[in-house]
Amino acid sequence: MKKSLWNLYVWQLKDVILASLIAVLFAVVCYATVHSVVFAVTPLVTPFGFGDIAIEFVFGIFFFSAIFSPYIMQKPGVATVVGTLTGLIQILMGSAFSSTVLVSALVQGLSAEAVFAMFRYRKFNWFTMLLAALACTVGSFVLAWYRGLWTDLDPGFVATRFIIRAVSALLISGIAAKFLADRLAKAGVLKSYPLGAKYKGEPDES
Amino acid sequence: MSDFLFRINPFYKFTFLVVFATVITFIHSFWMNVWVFGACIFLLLTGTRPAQHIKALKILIPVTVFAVSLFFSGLFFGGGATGPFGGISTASTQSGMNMATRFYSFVGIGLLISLTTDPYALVKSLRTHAKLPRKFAYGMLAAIHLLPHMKTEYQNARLAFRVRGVPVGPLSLKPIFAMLVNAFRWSEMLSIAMISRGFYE
Amino acid sequence: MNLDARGLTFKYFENARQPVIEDFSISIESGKITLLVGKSGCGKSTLGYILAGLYPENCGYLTEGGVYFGGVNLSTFTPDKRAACVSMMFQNPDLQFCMNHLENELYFCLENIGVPEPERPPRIKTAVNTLGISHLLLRSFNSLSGGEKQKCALCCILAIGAKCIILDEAFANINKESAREIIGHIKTLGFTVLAIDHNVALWEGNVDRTVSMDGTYPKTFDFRPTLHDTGAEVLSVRSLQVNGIRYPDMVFPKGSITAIVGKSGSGKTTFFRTIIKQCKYQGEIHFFGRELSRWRSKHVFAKCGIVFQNPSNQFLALNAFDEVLFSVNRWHTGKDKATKEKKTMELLSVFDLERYKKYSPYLLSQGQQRRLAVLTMIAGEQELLLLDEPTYGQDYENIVAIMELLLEKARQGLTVIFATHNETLADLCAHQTIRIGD
Repeated sequence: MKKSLWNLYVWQLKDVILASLIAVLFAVVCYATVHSVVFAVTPLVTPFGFGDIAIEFVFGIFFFSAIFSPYIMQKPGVATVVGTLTGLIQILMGSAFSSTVLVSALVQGLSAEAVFAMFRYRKFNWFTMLLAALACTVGSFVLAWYRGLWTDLDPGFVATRFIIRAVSALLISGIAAKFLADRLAKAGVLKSYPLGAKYKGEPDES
Repeated sequence: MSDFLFRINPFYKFTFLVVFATVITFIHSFWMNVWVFGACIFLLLTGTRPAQHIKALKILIPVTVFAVSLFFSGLFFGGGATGPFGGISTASTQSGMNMATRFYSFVGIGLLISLTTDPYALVKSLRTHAKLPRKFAYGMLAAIHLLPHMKTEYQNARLAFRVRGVPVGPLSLKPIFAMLVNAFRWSEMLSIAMISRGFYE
Repeated sequence: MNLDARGLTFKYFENARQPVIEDFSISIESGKITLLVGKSGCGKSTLGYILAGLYPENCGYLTEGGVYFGGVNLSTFTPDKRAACVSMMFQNPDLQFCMNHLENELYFCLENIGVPEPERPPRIKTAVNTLGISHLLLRSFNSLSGGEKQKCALCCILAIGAKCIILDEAFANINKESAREIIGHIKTLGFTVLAIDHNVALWEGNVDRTVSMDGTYPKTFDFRPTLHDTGAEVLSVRSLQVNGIRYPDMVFPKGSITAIVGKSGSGKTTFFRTIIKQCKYQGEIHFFGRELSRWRSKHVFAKCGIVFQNPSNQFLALNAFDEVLFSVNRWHTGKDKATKEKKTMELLSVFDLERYKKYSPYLLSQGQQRRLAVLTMIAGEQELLLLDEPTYGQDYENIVAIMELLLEKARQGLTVIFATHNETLADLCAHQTIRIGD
């Protein structure tokens, strides 16, 4: 038994603020994207029944914080806590989806957490990141299913949505999140976190 | 005209509404959706001030666009229908109506939460009733308080890249990278400032 | 009670070879104002954080020595007890509050140090009235000027009841009048003060003792460049009005240097944003022979560069060399790689940044970042350069280096407009000084 491995992350104040800031940032990006999608794209495709599919193309943004943060902090509990914080922040910001966003955020956080836990918080690579993005897709989809939005829709239609959401998750919360985090580490911004510990951002000879 | 919704204990109101929204996810009924949304609007009209009514209206415009598109999704793909203009039936119309009204009912409850809750009051009440740790409570508020600052910095970052001859599209990662750098810097500075004012768990 | 640092040795990384501060001692006398000076990067800010007890608790390693408040080691205090002894005022007024307005912030502070609930309102009232800022209590922090925010910060310290204040360049971004007013309050309230400030003149008449960290003392500003003649008009502004702000009529000749001064919030930044087509305006702006509204943004950016207040927003690369090389590449597309790299090194050497060429731009100090940002902008062939507070957080040598570079470029035909709080600098280095918002 390696006890130390299962120690939960000790949250410092700056980690909480950081997680909240990431949540705020992406909530704003989301909000802007959703609105532009709703106003620009949705009306065009609505007459064909594809209106609410438009949102699926950017759905990965909602998972970003719950996958990005554990990749940087690499400790148990991070995905769940950050996921939930993201939901809470959106409520505090006055989102129109206040009633459902908290539960969605919790489910997404737990889904990502499950993947990282499966690898005992030791492996943080392309594979686990992409898997976590997929897990979030599945988690959010199961929840949406339970909420009964699509239970009586055509299976082919639902499957299409699932594929679009999965691709969006892989691109945004898998690939882009890892890319951004790695770049931040190389820029020396993450010195005090496990991911950035090996980069000092300055050459050795100095 | 009154504002009684503001005076209810924010934590109880918040918990009740979130639990209520979660419970009704398991009940699929057109009339329940209509009643829930109607009740929410009634409460909003009687329990909030005109400023909130205008905000609600602004939110309901994109919501309506989305609800209409949900209706069409149901119309063309629900209740046995399998594509645009292929097999619209009473069942599929019903399905579309269900989906659109269900969405309205969620939004109605969401409006009750977001328009009648002051973030500071909610966090204070979460601390006393839900034992939310201080660092989470104040950490979140600190982040929210940076929101306007963040918006201007984001616009500045986009502008700065354009001035340097780098095109930035709406989904470009470069300004987001700059904002993440800021987030790391700000979280350190802000936490140190808070600790210098005696912040202690 | 005195605040003493004895034999401090501090490093940011456990295995760093060179400590940032080595065997340094200082005694800050009770009730006196001590000014700490020294070159940029000699560790003044770091010392301030150690004296406030914030380092090594939150960052870095204190390998030797300790800080004593009235003879008691500061590291034995919990943050709440410590704040009641020593507190700090920071450089960036935007990043020190966690609440929406002053009243909530004061409640937060008092809750931190364990003041019972019924005692909070009278204590808040006393603190606010002492500084005469009761009108700011319920105003959102976002609507306050830098000076007002720093007054609020002082109010928090007053409410907490700290005896000793450490100011880390707290007045770098606010105008002189507000700064003098805050200094006046600090003086009359009898705080024990350690002030870290490049702008010594601000403290004149109030300082009891000046200590240098590295043996260097700031020179009086005796940089008197001879100003060259200027050419034809490149930019002119007539009866301009943006977002309700009225601007005086201005003419900017080719090769001229113009300083824009005015209180925070008087519209300096808005003016710059207007020139690069980011704000709607009424009136006339004549930009290189044509009305600005008839230019396309892309072509404006090719004519006109800008250095923002927060330079870290405009970096693109992961090290300083690539950062400058990027701009060089943009403007010298035809030339071969070796020439471009040589040009890049030349530019870096102008500001002594060659040795940082492999450093990430984000890890440079505020001052270095600003200089790097200036380099990326003058690497090209822009004819007009706008700088928002280029000397913010810079020491004397660097201010002179920046101004000399700008003067040389101006002599070659670059038109420079900079916004500043430093009016001495404006008087000495600019062909014209324009005051806005009066």
